[in-house]
Amino acid sequence: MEEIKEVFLKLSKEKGIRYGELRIEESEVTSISFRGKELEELSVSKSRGGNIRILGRYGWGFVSFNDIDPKSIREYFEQAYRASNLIVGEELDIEYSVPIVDKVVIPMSKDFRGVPLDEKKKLLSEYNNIMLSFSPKIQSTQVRYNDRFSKKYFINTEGIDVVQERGDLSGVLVALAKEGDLVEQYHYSLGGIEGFQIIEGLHDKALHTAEMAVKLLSAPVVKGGEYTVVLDQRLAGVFIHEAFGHLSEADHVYENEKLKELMVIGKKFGPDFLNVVDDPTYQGLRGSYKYDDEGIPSKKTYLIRNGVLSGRLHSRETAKKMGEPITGNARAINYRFQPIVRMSNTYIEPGNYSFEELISDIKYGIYAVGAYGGQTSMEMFTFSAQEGYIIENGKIGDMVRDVVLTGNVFITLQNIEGVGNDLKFSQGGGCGKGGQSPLPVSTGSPHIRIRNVVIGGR
Amino acid sequence: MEELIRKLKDESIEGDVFSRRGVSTLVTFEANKLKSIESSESSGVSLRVVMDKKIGYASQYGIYEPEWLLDKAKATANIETKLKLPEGLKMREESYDESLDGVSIEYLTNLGKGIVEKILNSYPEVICNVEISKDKGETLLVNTSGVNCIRKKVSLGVGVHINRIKGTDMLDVYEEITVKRLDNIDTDRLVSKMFYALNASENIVKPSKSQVPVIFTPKAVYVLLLPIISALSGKILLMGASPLQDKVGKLFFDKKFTLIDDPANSEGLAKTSFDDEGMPTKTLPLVDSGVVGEFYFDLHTASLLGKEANGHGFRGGLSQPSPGLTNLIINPGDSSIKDIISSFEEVIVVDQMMGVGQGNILSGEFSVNIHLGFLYRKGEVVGRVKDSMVAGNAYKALSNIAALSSEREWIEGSLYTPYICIPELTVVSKE
Repeated sequence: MEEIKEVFLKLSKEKGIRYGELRIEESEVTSISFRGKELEELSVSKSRGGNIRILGRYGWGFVSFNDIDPKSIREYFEQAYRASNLIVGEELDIEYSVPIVDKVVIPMSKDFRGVPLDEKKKLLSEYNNIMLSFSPKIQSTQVRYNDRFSKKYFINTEGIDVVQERGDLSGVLVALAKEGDLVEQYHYSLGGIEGFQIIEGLHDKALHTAEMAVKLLSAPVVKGGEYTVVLDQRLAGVFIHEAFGHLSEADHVYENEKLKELMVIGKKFGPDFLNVVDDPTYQGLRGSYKYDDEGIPSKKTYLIRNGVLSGRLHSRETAKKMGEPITGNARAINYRFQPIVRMSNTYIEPGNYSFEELISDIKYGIYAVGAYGGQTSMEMFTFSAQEGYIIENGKIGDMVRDVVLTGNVFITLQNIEGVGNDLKFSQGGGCGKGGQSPLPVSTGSPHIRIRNVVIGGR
Repeated sequence: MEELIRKLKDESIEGDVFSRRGVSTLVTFEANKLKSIESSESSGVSLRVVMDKKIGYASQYGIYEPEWLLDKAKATANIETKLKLPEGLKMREESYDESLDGVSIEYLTNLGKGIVEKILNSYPEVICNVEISKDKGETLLVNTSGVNCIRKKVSLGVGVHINRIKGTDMLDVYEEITVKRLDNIDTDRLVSKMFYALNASENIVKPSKSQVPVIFTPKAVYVLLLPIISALSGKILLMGASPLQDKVGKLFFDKKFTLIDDPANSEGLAKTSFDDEGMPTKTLPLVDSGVVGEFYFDLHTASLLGKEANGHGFRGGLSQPSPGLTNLIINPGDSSIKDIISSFEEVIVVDQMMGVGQGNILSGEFSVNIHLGFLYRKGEVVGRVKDSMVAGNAYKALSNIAALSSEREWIEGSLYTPYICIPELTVVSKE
């Protein structure tokens, strides 16, 4: 490693480049999955790769590779350097940093690397059997587990030399219920960086997953229309990630004058009681990190404070161009990709209402629970619930299924009527952007209530 | 690789070794300007062993340690199987246009520059992002029963995104084209499609009622196909969760609907005469004139079901083989898209969606935001439909098709499809 660093730094000096960086990443992954009663996958993989990124006068040259030795690094450097010089156009500059030397190890309470394969398999098969034996209506199941230990080296021409190690674990339990031609499914997903214990003791979750899959069989499809909705913490987290989080990623905005006008700091986006935060320094979440993939120390950023746009997420380049403080949100899913502006742990801060208060005066609405996912086009977005319930005269009533909601960033945030006091984080999800998916992120929110939300349906 | 096979043979273990090598170049234009030039070299190897009727699996990217692979593959051998590795197939598949492989970075940047200039000449107010990539890949499969297959491919992909903002109204239009022969790259046609969308989006309109005929463009057809191709996967059959499992040989879809997986189609990017397990590929009628045809399998899944494998075991990256598809082909109809649109008082043409696959896919239910869609009255476009969702059930929709267009288009180089018109779906719009 030392020799490779030296070659990189020496070449950078020789060529007199303005800014360059070298990232090397080593990782080891174990994947286990069951499908129905069959063990579907049990495999291990190992990878080692890196990249060099060089800032030319007008643009970036980037090369990624698997072959890491001093000789090949020299060739890849030349390649990235040539590419950076081929770009001609508008001058490009970035924010610079001070030198940092650091090693960051996120400790795991129970290191998954020390857990034998058989023990992992056995635990997953327990969850699987609970679901399979729940009811004759359970047609099949899936249990998927993935653990990934990675070590990332970051070296740049500013004197940053940082090593970050962490273990990321994710899993999902899926139950499929069938009656006649109707197949319904329910899932429970989780993830975390604190060790193997987070996937232990989920027997009740497995039971609940199977139970919900069966219940969905008798739930009718939601009727399409505009509703007052209450979102549970998991779905509200996905909502804020899609509805607003992506729009506060500065790379969508920094080169777009019209969008800059729409997204000007100080603009009112929601009610006074709405506060939205992105915080990679939050301890112990999947979206947490000390340095981003440009070597910048992470920090907490208020995206919306008291309903007003108060900040956005930046890379070195977007911060410079917009003249705003750098936030340390440039992330790459792995060494094959350039870092781009991403969220980390994004959440709505808790408000004053209890869940009962949020629903008490709703005459007819929908309580939407759990998340299948979401998508945004910046202005419009969709997000879908695992299950829904009719709210009638302030009471939770019958279950409905296939609840997919849509909104418009300029309308829907203003329509938030209440924020609960019960903030919770969800860690099972991954985020996709620019072909880099799934990036570990966390979302969080208390229960929230929104009026006039369009729900699709027949 | 030969070394690994020799080690397996020495220990009398059955197995296969699958390796990938790739070289790609990507040029990116951001906000009308060339922003970055990337290249990537990758190489990796995976090893599957079958010991005492159990599968074990290990893979490595960037490192090649035969001992580690063998140890880990043996240690993970837990998956019970009845699969028998194929014997003796020796093949070479080349989709390799030398002139495409030979294009320089300058060629790629000039291609992008040309597209940006053309768009800005007509629409100076828009912002365009363009990505042009050249991808070269080689896979090699060798097993202990004499299989030795090589596949070499090179392709060129162009993706264009246009953003236009008026007030708080944002319009995003995407188009892409992926080709394996340089002379097939028709960027003029791609740009003219985008111009059509920009012109048609001048006004925002709403349909007059919520039950309307809907036409899915080739780009949008996937929302209807996704449940069907999922339901026909051998894995879903194995779970007993396929809504189509007892429909094989029966008329279940509209008679006008024929869906074929055709690995032999020479236009398709996924053309291949063997799969990633060393089986010869087979053309599969998934749906033949409305009749449910065949499921698709990898070796292991087929063996568990007691079915015959049909050459559809494919690997994503270096992961284990699973049932996969190649070139999906949908048969065309008789009328032109213009005539189909004109045949309705009012019809919505959906071109881009958000939220596809975000739900219970197997049930066939879909409910998606119309990210880009147009309303036509009496054959004339009246404007863009937005802040709206279209919902329905894919099985029901495809069992009652109003029309398929005579024109077809390639999507991402591996889906060849006409426009599909469904006589009635529910559209909910913001009041």
